[in-house]
Amino acid sequence: MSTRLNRALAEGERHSPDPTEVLAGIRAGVRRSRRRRRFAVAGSAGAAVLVLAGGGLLVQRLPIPPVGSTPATDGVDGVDGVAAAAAAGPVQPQPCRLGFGWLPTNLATPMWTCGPGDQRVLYPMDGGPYLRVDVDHSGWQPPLSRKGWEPVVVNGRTGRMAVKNTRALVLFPLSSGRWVGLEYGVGQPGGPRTEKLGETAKRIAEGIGETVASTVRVPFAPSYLPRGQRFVSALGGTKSGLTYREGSGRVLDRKPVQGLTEDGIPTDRPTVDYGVGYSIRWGPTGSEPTGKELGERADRDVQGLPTYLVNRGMTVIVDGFHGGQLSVSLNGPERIRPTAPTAPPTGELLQIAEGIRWTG
Amino acid sequence: MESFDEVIGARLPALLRYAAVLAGDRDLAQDVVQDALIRAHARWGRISRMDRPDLYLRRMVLTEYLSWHRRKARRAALFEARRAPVEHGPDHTVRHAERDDLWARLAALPERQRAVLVLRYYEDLSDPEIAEVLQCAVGSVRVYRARAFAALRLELELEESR
Repeated sequence: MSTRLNRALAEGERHSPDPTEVLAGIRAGVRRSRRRRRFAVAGSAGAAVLVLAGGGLLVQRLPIPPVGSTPATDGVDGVDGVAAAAAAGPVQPQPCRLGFGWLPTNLATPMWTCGPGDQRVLYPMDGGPYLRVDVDHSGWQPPLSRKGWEPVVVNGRTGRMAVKNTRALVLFPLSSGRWVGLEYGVGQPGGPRTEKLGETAKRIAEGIGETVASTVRVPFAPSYLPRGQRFVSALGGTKSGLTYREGSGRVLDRKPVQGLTEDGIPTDRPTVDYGVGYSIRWGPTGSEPTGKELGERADRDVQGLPTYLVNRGMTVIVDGFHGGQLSVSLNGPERIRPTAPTAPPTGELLQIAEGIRWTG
Repeated sequence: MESFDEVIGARLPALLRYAAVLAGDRDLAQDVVQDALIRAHARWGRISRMDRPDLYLRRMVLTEYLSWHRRKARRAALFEARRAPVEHGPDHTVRHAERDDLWARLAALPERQRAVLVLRYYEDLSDPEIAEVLQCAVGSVRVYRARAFAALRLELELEESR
């Protein structure tokens, strides 16, 4: 009889995680814990700079493959950090695993964000309704009961919904167990009440599935990224983009961070391990460099084009890059680091921008 | 003295299988092993001097799995997953279906009861060894197992396993 139990337990082996992903998570975790210790120890800005400089070498000693690395870059481990280019290189067209069975009319051109760590779509408000749908990849299982929300059943599975004058939010699970956040709106928050907002949002929700609806292809590729970065998603639509991050993208703390929409709907979300990440965006402007002062002029130009710093040096904009504007931004380090860095990582952003290659 | 990388390189697949059997869920198993090994890396100087670092790593994985803050949400998720419609077709043999049913019932057990069954029937540890790993009395191990069997409606197996 115990054989039956042995076999049943052995069935669990099929749930074994991918060792490569786990190694990447361990490596990222070790880096984060070292960084936290460094910030905790550093008593002054000068000391922090010294510790950061040494930390890069310390991290090299752990020969675990870089996050999201390709075979071509695995060999850089153990080499001085200058050679690191963890997830750099062209990105394959990304399937968008978010399909709709029904959509209201008059939606604008959507922006798709598709990749292994993110699946979402945004129909911006452009004279018509507004729709945002994202599929959770953090493993969060939101509480079903929340003040200001009502239970709702979508395709036989229980979720919750909140409706105000101009916005309806639906939070519901798919058959895969992943949760979907849907926001549908008509008009600006604070505007007049729109009839049947909740019914429309629910109808959209009932048609949502994880079928491949389209693919996103990006016309550029980075040739340099800081060590430890892994590919998250590609952006397609009126702009193109790539997003990378260091963290696992999994829930760090299930106690929700609470907020309020402009319409007064209470929201909650978990704290997710994003770590330090980078967003690269390109959008056409239809001309050569605009000649506008887009921000503070950088010390040096990137690829011979006028380059600007905005958002306190957290974003670099290259004007006139292949008939558009290229931007490279630092994302979310404040969630991981106990102390903000003493100086923006402008040099790193400029180096990433310098390494962007147009693939067409 | 083996380095952290050598031990991880050799033992990671087995640790992952162990965590998957314990947790019954790929994401939770990944979280558990990652967190345990990140902590192990920080203390590797001490762990590496032990006779069997690999056994200590297993204990760390188990402790991480038993940590209280993960339980509620993951258990709720597992429960929902069990109830969710099955996307793929049913197994084609009755035996496989029974095993799946037992696996589903195992997934619903409280963590310590499940851990006792895994350590006994997957890791093949004796009751005193299980008691040492769980840092509890041998009698408690037997109580956990009895309750697990009762929950699984496997009283007959309990008698046979004594």
